[in-house]
Amino acid sequence: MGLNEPTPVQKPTTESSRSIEFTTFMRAYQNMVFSTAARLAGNDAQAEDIAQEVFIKAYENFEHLRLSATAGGWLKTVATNLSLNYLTRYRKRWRLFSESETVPDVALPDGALDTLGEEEQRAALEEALRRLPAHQRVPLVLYHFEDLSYEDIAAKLDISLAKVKTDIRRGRAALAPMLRLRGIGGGS
Amino acid sequence: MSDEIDREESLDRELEVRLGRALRTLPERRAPATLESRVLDALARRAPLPWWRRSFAQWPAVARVAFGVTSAVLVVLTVLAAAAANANLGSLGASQALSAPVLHDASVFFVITRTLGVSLASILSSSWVLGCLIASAALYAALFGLVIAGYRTLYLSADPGIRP
Repeated sequence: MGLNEPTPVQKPTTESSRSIEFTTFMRAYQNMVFSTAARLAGNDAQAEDIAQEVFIKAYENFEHLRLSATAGGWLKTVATNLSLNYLTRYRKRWRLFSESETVPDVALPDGALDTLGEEEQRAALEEALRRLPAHQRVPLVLYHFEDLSYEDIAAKLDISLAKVKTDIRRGRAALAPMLRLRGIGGGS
Repeated sequence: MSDEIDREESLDRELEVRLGRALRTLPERRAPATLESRVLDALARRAPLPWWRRSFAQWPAVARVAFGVTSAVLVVLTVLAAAAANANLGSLGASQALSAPVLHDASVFFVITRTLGVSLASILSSSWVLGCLIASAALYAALFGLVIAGYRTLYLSADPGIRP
């Protein structure tokens, strides 16, 4: 039986069995939660903090989540919201410090593309995504990984629709060289 | 012109499709091995704490309301007591009005503080105050500039992934 499916019979649980059950629950979802946070935050240390916070909230709601078929969706939503909260706090705190940020070069050096294996190509794309500036990475991740519309992203990030479209287009353009890698995106 | 725009839009759409497909092939990142133990440690630290040692948001509703009401009553009582003491000191001689030792000490402290404040205000000219404020602002600005320079040099350049 999958973890997302409801438990047919509820039994009164002791603290230790609840802890074991929660650990199993956490192992099933920790990669998904960490991935969501890491791709939005662009920083593994922060993503781990966010993931920890997500699972503490999950523990507080575990009575509902352990029976819920939508526990994965709940965790993903909380991870997304906490990551965006982190980015908002961070942006406000460091706006003055980072206004002169420049867009980093995310492309690999010429010739490096052909030498990579499939797994390395995906790692390179993941790294290129991580290196995008947050104002491009976050809407791009929300669009492609969370399936949010441009309008929803604009509302969630509290920015204009035009800016969302521009940032996503620029983010895609920055990642476009990665698509020349064999096997990625069905390209040549 | 129109053909060029159409071609650009078509390229944009193709890029969107191809990139979307590429991103979906990315496997989930593996969570750090430390995550599970961190979560369990955090939960273990929280579990034995009684409610009054947890954050205010986690207090029982009754306790939160009682705390709020008690705090409000104490604030009102403090303000009323201060106003009453000030009125008494103003209308009566301190030595005649307050014969109990504790009240006498409190009145002496109050009178000394008030006298000191008035004396300082008369001694310090406005130019002194203005000078101190300007010096404080300059020192604060210098410290702030130093922190910005340090952040940009040491932190922002060290981890390009951290960008708001």
